Amino acid sequence: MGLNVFDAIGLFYKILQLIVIAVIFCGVDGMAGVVDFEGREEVEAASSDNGTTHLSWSKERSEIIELEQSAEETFEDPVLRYRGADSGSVITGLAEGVHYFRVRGVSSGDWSEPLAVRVEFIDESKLWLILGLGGVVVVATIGAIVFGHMKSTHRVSE
Amino acid sequence: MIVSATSISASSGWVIVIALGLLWVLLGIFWGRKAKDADGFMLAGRKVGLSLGSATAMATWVTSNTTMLAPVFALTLGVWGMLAYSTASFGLILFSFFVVRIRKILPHGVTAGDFFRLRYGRGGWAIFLVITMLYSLSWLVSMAIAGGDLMEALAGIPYHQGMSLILLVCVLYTLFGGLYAVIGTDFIQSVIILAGIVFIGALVAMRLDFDEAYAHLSAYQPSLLKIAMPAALLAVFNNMLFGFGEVFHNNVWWSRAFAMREKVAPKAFLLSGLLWFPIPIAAGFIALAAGPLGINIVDENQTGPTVAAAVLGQSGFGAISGGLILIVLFCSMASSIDSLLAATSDLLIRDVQEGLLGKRHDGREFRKVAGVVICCVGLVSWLLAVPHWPIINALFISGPLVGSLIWPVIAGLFWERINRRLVIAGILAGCVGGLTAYFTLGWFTASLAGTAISMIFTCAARFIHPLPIQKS
Repeated sequence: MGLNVFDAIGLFYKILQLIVIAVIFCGVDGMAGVVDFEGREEVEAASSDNGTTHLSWSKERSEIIELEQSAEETFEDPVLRYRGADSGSVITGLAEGVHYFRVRGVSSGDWSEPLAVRVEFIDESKLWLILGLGGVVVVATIGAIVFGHMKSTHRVSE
Repeated sequence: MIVSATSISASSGWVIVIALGLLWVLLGIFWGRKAKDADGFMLAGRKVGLSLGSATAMATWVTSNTTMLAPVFALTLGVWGMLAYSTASFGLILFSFFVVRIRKILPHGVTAGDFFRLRYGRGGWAIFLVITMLYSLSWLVSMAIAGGDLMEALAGIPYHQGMSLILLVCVLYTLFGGLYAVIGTDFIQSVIILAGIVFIGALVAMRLDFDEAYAHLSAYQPSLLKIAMPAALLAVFNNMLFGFGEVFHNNVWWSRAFAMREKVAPKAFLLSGLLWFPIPIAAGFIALAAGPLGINIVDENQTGPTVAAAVLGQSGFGAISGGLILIVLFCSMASSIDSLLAATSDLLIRDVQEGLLGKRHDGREFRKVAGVVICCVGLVSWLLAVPHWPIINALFISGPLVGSLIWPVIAGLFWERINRRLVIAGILAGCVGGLTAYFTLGWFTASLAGTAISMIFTCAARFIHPLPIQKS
C-alpha cells in the first residue's frame, strides 16, 4: 500500500502548516521575552560626570516593565527603580562608581543582561583649580562693578 | 506611575493659545496708539515706571529656559543645580549698578550698539554685533522651537503649527505696539507666570513628606544632595557668568535701561532680580520632587511639565492641569520672544540701517521700516525653527562669547583710560578660549574660561598704553 500523489501533497501541506504555526508561536513567545536596553554599547562605553544616565528599552507598547538597580553585577540586594509602561527612564543623582541595571517585561519574567553605568566625577585637583579660578573671576567682576559704581557716584556728587 | 505629557486635547490647546494670542494682539494695538514717534515705539517714550519696569525685566528673564531648563538643572545637578540657575538673577541685580552710568554716558542712547561704537570704535562694535546677533537669534529661535515642542507635548498640536502660531502672535503685537506693547503684556504675563509657579510649587509641597523625600534622595539619588558635587559646583560659577554676559551686553536690557525713567531704572532692575531669584528654585524644587513622588521622567527636557501635570492630576485638577501648564509656559515664552523681537529689530534699525548704511528714518517712515524689520526678524526666526535643528546648543555655545563681553562693558562704563585694541583682542581671545574649553573640558567651564581670558586682557588694557576713552 503506497501513498498516491494527492496524499503526498496533502501530507506535505499539513507538515508545512505545522511548521508555520510552530514558527509563529515561537516567534511571539520570543518577542514577548525580549525586553532589553537600547543603545547598550553607547551607555556602557560612556562615563557620566554628573551621575545621570538615560535608559531606554525596547518593549511591546502596553507591556509593564520592571527596572532594577544594584551595586553588584550579580544583583544581590537589588532595588526596584521603576515599574510601569514607559519606554525609558532618566536616572539621576547616582554616586561615583559602577551601577548595574537590568530590565524585564513583567509578563515574560526573564531579566535582561546587566547594563553597567559608570559614574566618574571630574578629577578633584582639576575641580578645585577651576573652582578657585571661578571664585577669583566672580569676586573680581562683582568688585569691579561695585567699586566702579561707587567711584562714579562719588565723582557726580563732587 | 505612568504620566502622559499630552494631557489636554488639541482643540482645547488651540482655544487657549488663540484666546491668549488675541488678547496680546488686542492689547498691543491698544497700547501701540501711544507710540507716536521712534522714541515712543522703540523705548516706550522713555517714561516707564517702577512696577512696569521691574515686571518687564523679570518677565523677559523668565524664558522657556527658566521654566523648562531649571527643572532639568535640579533633576540632574541637585540642590546646587537649582541654586546655579538662580544665580542668573545676579546679572539683573548688578545691571542696576550700570543703568545710572549708561544714562549719563548715553543720555540719548537707543541700543547697546551705541555704547560699543562710542567706546570701542567700529571694530569693537562690529564684533559686538556679530556676537549679539548670534546670541539673540539663537535665543529667539530656541524659544520658538520650545513653544512648538511644548504645544505638541501638552496638547498634541503639530510642532510646525504651534511654533508658527506663537511666533505669529508675538510678531503681531510687537508690530502694532512696539515696546509699549511688549512692556504692557510682560506685566500681565509676569503675574500669570508667578502665580502659576507658586501654585504648582505649593501643590507639590503639600503632597510631599519632606522627611521621606530626604530619605528617598539620600538612598537613590545621593549625588543630588552632595555638597561637593563637581559638575554642580562648576555650574554655579559658569551659569552666573553666562547670566552676567547675557544681561550686560544684550540690547533687551539696554533698551529697558533707556526706556525706564532715570531714577526708577536702578530700583526696577534690583527688584526684578530679587523677584526672579526664587523662580528657578521653585521650578527646580518641583523637579527634585519627581523621584520621591514616584514620577518617572522619560525625557529630561519635559521634566517640569511632566511633574506639574502629574501633581495637578493627583490633586484633582484632572483635565484642566494641562491647560494651566500651557498658559504659564505660553506666557513665559511670549514674554521673551516679544522682547527679543523688539530689541533685535531696534538693533538692526539703529545699528545696521542707521549706523552702517547711514539711513535715518523719522515719523511715519520709521514705523514702516520698523514694521518691515520686525516681520523680517520673525520670518528669519521661523525659517530657522522650521527644520527643528537643536538651536538650543547654539545658545549654550554662545556662553563664552557673551562672557567675553562682561569686562569690556564694565571697563567702558566705569574706567577713564583704556587700551581699546587690547580689549578687542581680549574679546576675541576669550571667544576662542571659551569655545575650546566648551569642547575639551565641558560646557560647565566655557563661560568661565571666556570671561577669565577677556578679564586678563581688559585689566592689562588699563595699564599698557591706555588712552582716554571717547565721550559722547
